[in-house]
Amino acid sequence: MSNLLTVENLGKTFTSRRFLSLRRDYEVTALRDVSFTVAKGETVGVVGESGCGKSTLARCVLDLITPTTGAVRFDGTDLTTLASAEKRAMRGRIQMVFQDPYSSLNSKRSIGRTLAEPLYVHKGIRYRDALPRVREVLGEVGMPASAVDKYPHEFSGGQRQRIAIARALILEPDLIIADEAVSALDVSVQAQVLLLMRRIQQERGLSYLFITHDLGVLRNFCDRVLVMYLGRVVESGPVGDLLERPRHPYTRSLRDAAPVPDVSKRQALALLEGEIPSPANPPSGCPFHPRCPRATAICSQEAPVLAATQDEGRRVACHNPE
Amino acid sequence: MTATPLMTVEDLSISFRIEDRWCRAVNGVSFDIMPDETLCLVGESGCGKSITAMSLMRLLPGSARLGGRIGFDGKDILTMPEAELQTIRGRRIAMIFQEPMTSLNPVLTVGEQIAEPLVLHKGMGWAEAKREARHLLDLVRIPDADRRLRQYPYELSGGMRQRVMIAIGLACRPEILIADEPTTALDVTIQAQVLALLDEIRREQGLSIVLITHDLGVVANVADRVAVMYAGDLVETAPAGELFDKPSHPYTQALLRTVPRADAAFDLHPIEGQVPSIQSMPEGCRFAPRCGEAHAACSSPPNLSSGPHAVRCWARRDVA
Amino acid sequence: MTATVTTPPQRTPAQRLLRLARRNKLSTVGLILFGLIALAAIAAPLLSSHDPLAQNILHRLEDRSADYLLGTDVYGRDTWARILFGLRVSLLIGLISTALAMIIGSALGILAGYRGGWVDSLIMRIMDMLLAFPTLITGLFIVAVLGANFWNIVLAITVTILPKFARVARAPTIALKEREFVEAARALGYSDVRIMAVHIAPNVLGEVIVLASLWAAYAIRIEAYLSFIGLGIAPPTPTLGTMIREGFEHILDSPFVSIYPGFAVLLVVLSLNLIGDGLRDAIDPKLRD
Repeated sequence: MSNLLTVENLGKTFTSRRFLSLRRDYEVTALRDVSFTVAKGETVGVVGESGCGKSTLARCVLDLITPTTGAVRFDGTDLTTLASAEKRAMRGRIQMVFQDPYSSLNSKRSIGRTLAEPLYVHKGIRYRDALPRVREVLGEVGMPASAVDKYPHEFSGGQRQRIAIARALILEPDLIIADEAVSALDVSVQAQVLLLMRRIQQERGLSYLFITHDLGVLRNFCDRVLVMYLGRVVESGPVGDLLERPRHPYTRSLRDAAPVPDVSKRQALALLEGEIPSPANPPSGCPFHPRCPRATAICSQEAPVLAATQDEGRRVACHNPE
Repeated sequence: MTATPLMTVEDLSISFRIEDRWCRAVNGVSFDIMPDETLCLVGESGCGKSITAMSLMRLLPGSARLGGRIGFDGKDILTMPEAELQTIRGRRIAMIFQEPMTSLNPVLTVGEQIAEPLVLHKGMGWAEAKREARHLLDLVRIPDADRRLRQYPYELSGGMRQRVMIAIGLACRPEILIADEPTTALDVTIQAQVLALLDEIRREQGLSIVLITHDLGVVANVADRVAVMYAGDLVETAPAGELFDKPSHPYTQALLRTVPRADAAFDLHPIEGQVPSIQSMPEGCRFAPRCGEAHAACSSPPNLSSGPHAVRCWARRDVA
Repeated sequence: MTATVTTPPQRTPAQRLLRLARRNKLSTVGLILFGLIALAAIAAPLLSSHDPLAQNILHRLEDRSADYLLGTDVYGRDTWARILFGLRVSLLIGLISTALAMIIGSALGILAGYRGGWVDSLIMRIMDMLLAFPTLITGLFIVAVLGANFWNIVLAITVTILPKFARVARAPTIALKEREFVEAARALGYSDVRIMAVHIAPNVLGEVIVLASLWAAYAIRIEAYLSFIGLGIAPPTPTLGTMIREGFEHILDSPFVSIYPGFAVLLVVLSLNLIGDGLRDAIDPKLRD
């Protein structure tokens, strides 16, 4: 399998410098030294809690924000060095589906206009000429062609998310970044959308970078996973193996805190002490050490690097892995 | 099972006027709240679980039309004079909400907000109320309570704010605590902490918790009894163990098959179609249009069967 | 309450307008009033038998009569005709300057809000400077320096009210910028100009239009002020402000020469304000059902 997307040592530090401001400048490192690949036709999940940097990662790959360090290589081209016109052309090949189907569609534009617009901007196709293609894509996501003349408010959340997927598909991308794309949906609709996304993947051979906080969705939709904590990847590997035999203590805590709809597996949910530290003021050494049950002296002094383990495809960043 | 219920909800219905028509958001729901238990109201958006919870304290806007009876301490909450309700709200029944940031007043300190109900409802002096507030922060396991009392909501994390909300809810030692999606806005590791805290407090204080949630995982972990709602109907109610082991209503069964689980990969079975709009509810059983087992009888509304495991379905007359 | 899936009933635009009118009777009155005034201004030559510029020394300061509906002024010109033709000039100045201020001001506000950073600081500081002067002073200064003619007066009024539009357009832009559909547009590779013009502007339009109807009334008042102190359109072209000033010299012996055009200003301003209030109610989601 060839790699479609290669992310190397990606880092992003947000700085606030205000002209003539009395407040002190501050820096927040949202991403630190993140590297991974996405193969063609693969689904890579990114999981973590708030402040872990998963949304910043998505926006760096899409070039909505410029990374401070590192490279994003897409199909052999480094996106961070492209001129803006070339970037714009490249954007058609990477698309995004957002979390909130209520705010990701412009309420003032009809569905047809929303879906035809990318074709006009990138290929100069006029609305009337784009319509057959728009209807075709609507059909592909299970929406009636009559949706063309309607407006977002006439649809439910699940239907809107289908429309958002159709918008992402219309330029025939190779990679779709889904940022919590099913988190806002009811479970019965969530499964519909997940199955739709999987079917599209099988038909078109595209790849997903799938950001989620829900381990159930992760387990049932992704091939590989990156577990992130405070801007770093702490563990990565095939999703089933990683969740069954977590090696990083944070992965274990995350898994054990996720409630499962099964009374027989009821136990006191494993409690992770303490709170997620602020990314503006991260702990020294390993970012997880203040909450970690396995922490030793070295953990507060030196940050562990993400290193391969003897298990196939598994990497972990921990001084004392399980 | 002879304990007397703390609260009895009988045939509760709630209607709203939308576009010059009365629409039934809650359709004849009945359940009991037993002493010292956690009852979960579970369902998807639009099922009416939140407004059912609000109606338990009659917190709905005046435009809502309520029917049925909510028996509490021998009286009916729905017909009680407003003055009498004031003696119940916050004192004997308390409520906490999903979004702890917007439910807290940003310009008052944590201490003032916890002390306020004590001063108002219990007639304590401010000094005494502050001492009690400190004790309540200990109760919800907030470390360094003295410092926290002087802080403002924005200085606290989401999990801490939800703990403060729980402390406010518990201030007057209520008999029933209604928690509307209290962990939905929190990260999973923090959610686990808050759920564990609620359970500990229930044990220590001997109160009943009505937990409203959409998350079946949460239900499986904390519920003693479960009531499943769909489109304004209570479709199934049972002790938690039985509901998950032997779900009976087609909707409950479908719901359990559609939830992705972290502990196993399996084929997802979506429920086809969508939740009906409140303005165009199907006649008869409201789940029938999406139900694989619907037949002719389903065009008229089924009744909830009796017994501890009750189902509202024509195809399931035999259980219970 | 949790969100429910609702499909609002379909209404034609005419039905929606009727519904709005039924709810807000005062603004309907305003709309009808303004419509009549605008119609009268457009149809001015048909509604008056006299030439508004024709002087007639024999009929100076005459009272109302069948021939002179509202009497005559100091040069014997027909007040009714002059009001109708004056309305044309006043409305034109008011509406053109408001439209210009609305377009340029909103564009600047959207640009400032969307770009942020130094672009925002620069634009908004300039707007603040303009706002710091009392509105009339800014207008006076421009007309005094450039001279009083139609387009200079339009320019003066545009510049005075433009900052208000910039402020009103900027605030929702900052909120909209964070909405996912704007981010989605960027992810689709749309240019910034397109995002501002096609995706943000229509969402800001509602609030801007409310403001426009209120400030159009103000623009017409500024025109009257400027004319009243002699910095308006040069005579003999009638505008409502010039008429009030000319009549003012004879306010004691024939007050109606001033009062009639003054009343016309009042009606225009009142109708526009009523419309503005109604629009604000219609657009404010808190007041909608």
